[in-house]
Amino acid sequence: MRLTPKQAALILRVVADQTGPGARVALFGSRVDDSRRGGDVDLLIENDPPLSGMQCVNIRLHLESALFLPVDILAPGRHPRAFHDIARATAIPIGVTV
Amino acid sequence: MNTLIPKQQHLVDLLEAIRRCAWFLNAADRDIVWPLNANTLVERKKDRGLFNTLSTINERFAKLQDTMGSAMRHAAMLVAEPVEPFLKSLAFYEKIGVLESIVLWQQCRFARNEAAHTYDTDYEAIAKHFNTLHELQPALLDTAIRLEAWCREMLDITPTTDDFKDAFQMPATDPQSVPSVHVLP
Repeated sequence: MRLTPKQAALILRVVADQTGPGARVALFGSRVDDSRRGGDVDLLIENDPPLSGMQCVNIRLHLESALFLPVDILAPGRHPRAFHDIARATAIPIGVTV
Repeated sequence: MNTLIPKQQHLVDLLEAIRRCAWFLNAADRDIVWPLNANTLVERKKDRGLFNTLSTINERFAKLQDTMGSAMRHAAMLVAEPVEPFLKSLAFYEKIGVLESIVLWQQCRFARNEAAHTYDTDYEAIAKHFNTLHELQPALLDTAIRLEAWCREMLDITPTTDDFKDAFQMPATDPQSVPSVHVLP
C-alpha cells in the first residue's frame, strides 16, 4: 500500500471529522500496488448511514489540501453496486474511524 | 489608446451572463421536488423532462461558477488587485465579504466535478450528487448577488440589460427541503 502511516492516520482523522466513529476506510485502485508510481488516492468509505454528497465533498476537499494528492471517494449507498464489490475485493483496509 | 472602456464592457457582459446562468439554474432547481431520492429516479427513469432539468442544473451550476470566476478575476484586475494565482483573488473577495469563504467556493468546485463521474444507472449516486448541488446553490447565488452589488458600488458597472433582473428574486425553495450543510472542521 503506497500510503505512509502518517497519511493513513490523517485520512482516518479527516473522515472521522465528517462521519463520526465507525466508518470503514480502505484504499483501492493503483495505490494498493507497490510496484506502481503516482496515481490518485482512491478511498472506499463505508458507513451507516451512507455518506452524503456534502460529506464526500468535504472529505475530498480537506484531504487534497492536506495530502497534496488527488483524492477520489467511493461511498456506497444503501444498495451497493457491482463496482463497489470490485473495489472492495482489491481494497486494503486503512482502518475504522474512532 | 484607452483600453479601459472595453475592459469595463467585458465585465458588464460577464455580469449579464451571471444573471442569465442564475436565472436558468434557479428556474431548473424550482422544477424539482427536493431532496431527490433513488426511488423517485428509478420510477421516473424515462422521464425526459426530469432528466433534462437535471442536466440543466449540472450545466448551469458549473457555468455560473465559471462565469463568476471570470468576473471576479476581471473585476479584481480593474481595481488593481492581484489576479494570479486565482487563490489570491478568492482571498481578496473573502476579505471584502463578497465570498462567504474560500472553502465554500472549493466545495462548489468539488461538487460539480462529481458530475464528471459516470454514474450510469446508480440512481442513489445521481440523487446524492444533485442534492449536493441543491444544497450549495443558495450560497453560490448569494455570492453572485454580492459580487454584482460590489461591482455596482465600487466600479459603477452593472449588467447590460434588465432581461434577467429577476434572476435572484425568485421565491426561495421551501427551506424544509434544504438539508443542513456540513461544514469543514
